[in-house]
Amino acid sequence: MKILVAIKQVANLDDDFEIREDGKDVDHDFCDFEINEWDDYSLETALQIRENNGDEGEIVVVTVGPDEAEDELRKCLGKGADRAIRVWDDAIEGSDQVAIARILTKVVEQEAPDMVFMGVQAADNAYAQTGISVAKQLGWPHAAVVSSLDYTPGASTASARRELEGGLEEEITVNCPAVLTIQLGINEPRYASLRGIKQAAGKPLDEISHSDLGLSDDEVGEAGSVSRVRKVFVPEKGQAELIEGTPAEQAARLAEILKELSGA
Amino acid sequence: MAAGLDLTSLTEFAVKQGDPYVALALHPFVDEGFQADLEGIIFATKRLKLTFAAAPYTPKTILALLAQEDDEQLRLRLSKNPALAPPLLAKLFKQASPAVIKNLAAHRNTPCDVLQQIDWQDNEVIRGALCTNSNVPLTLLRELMVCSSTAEKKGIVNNPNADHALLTELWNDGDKFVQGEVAAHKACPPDLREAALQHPDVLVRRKLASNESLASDCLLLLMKDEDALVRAAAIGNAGLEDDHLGNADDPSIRVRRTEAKREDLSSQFIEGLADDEDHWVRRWVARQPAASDAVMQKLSQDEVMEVRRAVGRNPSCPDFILERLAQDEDSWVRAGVALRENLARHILVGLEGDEDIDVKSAVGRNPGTDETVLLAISEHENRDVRRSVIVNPHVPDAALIKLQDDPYPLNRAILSGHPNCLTENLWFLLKDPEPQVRYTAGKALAVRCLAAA
Repeated sequence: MKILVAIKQVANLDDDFEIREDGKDVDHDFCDFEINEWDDYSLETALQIRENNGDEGEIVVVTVGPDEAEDELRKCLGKGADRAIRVWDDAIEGSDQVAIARILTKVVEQEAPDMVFMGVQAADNAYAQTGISVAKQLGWPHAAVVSSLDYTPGASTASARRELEGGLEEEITVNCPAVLTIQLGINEPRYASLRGIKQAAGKPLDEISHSDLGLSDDEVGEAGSVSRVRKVFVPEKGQAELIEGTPAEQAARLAEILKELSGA
Repeated sequence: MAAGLDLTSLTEFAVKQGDPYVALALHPFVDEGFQADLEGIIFATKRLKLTFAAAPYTPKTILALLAQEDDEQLRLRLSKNPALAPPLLAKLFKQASPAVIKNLAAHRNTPCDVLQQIDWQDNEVIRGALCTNSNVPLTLLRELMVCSSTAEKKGIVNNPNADHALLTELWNDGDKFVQGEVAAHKACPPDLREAALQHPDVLVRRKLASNESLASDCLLLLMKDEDALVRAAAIGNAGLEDDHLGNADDPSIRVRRTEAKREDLSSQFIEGLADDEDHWVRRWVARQPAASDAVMQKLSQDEVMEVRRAVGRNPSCPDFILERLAQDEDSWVRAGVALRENLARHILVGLEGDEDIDVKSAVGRNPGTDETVLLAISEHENRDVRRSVIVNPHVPDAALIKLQDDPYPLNRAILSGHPNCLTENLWFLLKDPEPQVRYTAGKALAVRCLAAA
């Protein structure tokens, strides 16, 4: 049994931050970096499946990211993943979610796992597309926003519960191998023990480039993307008014505002 | 010198390790030569400078160095740092941008003379910040008052530096909300107190009743107010002496709850409230140290679990009641008993075998708990239960050694900052993956090194 878990190192903004000079992202001096919250749940899902399988099987974590992203892979190894892969080179800079999915697809083809788990979305960019895009490029079944999973390694299907809009849930059966995007709250992610963190230093972490995966320069970075960030900016703040006075005065002022907005 | 408590060795370790959080913790404790080495680590990246400029735990020595840098982003963060001392805030003012000035106007440590130099005429954000800043002197408050909005007046009225004349002006111009704040102000003049006492609006009378500088005769009048919230505020006023409380028969639950919370109730008054229909009243009464054994006996059989637990938490609760509560069907009640530091040994022994996690945590904190039990609790599967033994004054060293490797970061953070933490623990925690733990361990070790020198 092999489960591939794709993770991302995401940016957390300071209260005060500055936009980069090219206007396309926040200056990284004003960010803290950490593992994407959804990915913590994905990894925990994989770890629990292996534990319920008598600790048999391999869990591989992969990320597409620069040197700093290695910190998050090491944390995953500290929690119990067996092996890590980091894909990066200068040409990958500027890749959108489709180009990232193309890279991850190649990793999946190379690793041939029984299942692929990814977070529903990344906390910083919030596209929520990478997982499904990987499934599409692989031609694999997929399920998004999985809030509960019943999967036995080796089985030809898995049962999953998905969150839908309006508080609805959907129970589905998906053929394996499949790509599942995991929702927050599906489990309680563990913390890495100090012993685990120390052991993680000795676990294999492969660093590969896009060419190692058989991808050309045109398939990654901006050239391989279908969208480009034009501008990142702080929108102008809306107006707000604190309504004061007696309840009757407040009600009168509220009625005035409603009339103004409705043009009455 | 005690083993492991040599500041030079510790600093050399920190320099070799190159960790900015340990370096930050040691910086105020070492001599200039070592400080320069540590600064190279602390200021290694722009990101670290920004982080430490904003962090309230950053030592003053480092904040002073950061304030010398000609960097607007650093100044912006420093001006919001609640730990920044008045001289550094004054220094920031000399090169302040509008954004920094806005922060200085709101900062609780900004010196009075700096606040007086801030140009506030055309900026309502700065004006609003100054109105609520308790360092703003009366002269500036008067100037602000001239052109302040209703919202800003509400800031001024809460300012402790407002005097009789200013409060009178605020009262005369203000709505009932402003008048209520004037009535609650410790400097509220006598004529306004009288006006507030007769005020038709409940809000104003209620705020007056909460004023702790109010005389007893005024409080006694407010205790007879027709509105229950006013009576409750008067009874909750710390300035009211217990012999003015009267009888425990107010028709309002709010009033009786406030009475039951007072810490100076006579046993007679407690008797009157012990049969109250409201369980919140009974709950507060059950914690009254002056409650008689008979009252506690009755409340220990109350149908509401929180009332029974409150009896178990009462410092005057006798053993014969505690024995029964220690076998209560509800674990929260048993946990309350187990938390008692002076619990009779035979009762504690009975609780040591309880498997409920709340009881287990309480036993873990109890200084009377047997060492072997504490050792077992330090290995409990529940992370919150394991944490309980860290704060136990009799925690065995072996348990602390186990807990320094606890997978739950909060447990290691608590350990690193607790006096029980062994020097051996602290050295181990200098390599912890969590920056907060490394910083706390480094600081604690440095303090111990200085004390041992």
